[in-house]
Amino acid sequence: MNSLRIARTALRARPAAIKAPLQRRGYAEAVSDKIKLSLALPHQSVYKSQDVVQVNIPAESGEMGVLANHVPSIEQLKPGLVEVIEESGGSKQFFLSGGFAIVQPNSELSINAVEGFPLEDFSVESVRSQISEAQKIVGGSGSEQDIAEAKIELEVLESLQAVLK
Amino acid sequence: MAFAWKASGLTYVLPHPYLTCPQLMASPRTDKTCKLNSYNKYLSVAARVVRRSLKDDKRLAAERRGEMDLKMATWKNGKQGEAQNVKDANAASMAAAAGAPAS
Repeated sequence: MNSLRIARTALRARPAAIKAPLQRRGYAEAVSDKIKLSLALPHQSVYKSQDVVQVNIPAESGEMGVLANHVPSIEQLKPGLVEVIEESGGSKQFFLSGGFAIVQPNSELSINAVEGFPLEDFSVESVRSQISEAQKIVGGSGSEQDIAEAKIELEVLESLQAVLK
Repeated sequence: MAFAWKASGLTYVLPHPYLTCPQLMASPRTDKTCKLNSYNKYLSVAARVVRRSLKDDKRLAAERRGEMDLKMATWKNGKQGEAQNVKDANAASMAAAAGAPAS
């Protein structure tokens, strides 16, 4: 008997519940202004489909800021700084070693990289000493491969030093 | 869907152009005469240097990820060749590729 009463009240409550969202709904509300960010490394996912306001990425084609409803695209990333502006208004900065960013049609952004760390995890002294070491190898008479690797390292380190300042 | 990196000639298996193409070494960002063809090697070098730049405590944990302890052997005429470390074999083949004249 008791359950019957609950069922009846539920039945009565329903029409109002259906009508209410219909009245409130408009075009402006139907579109979310947040972008779902997934920032994945092989060993860790830093963001897992989390709503954020904006993401700035260092694409090969130039620095770009990605907001909600961005046009779908695939961007190769330079080793550089990724800045995430979160819902609370704060921003977080990560240095990625290079990878890809994929903007999907439904306001989703996936960033894949091999290594990525918050900016505060880096040591300025270590970067500086590695730069001078790499410069020595580039100017030295090592094997072609060593010089090539040192040039790649130098490119990454200089980008890192620029953002650490 | 055609991926941008495929269209530009990027693959995941060949040696990096820096290793075979001197023009690209001179101006990495602007020289387009050589196609990029080993993104994977480039990424692993970039990742390694990022790991080395970390503060000591984080660096020790991260550098453990870069270690590879995998062995391989070449089979010929039904016989197993000498087992060797994949990392060493890779380094040797990369050096050989770098030593070859650039085409």
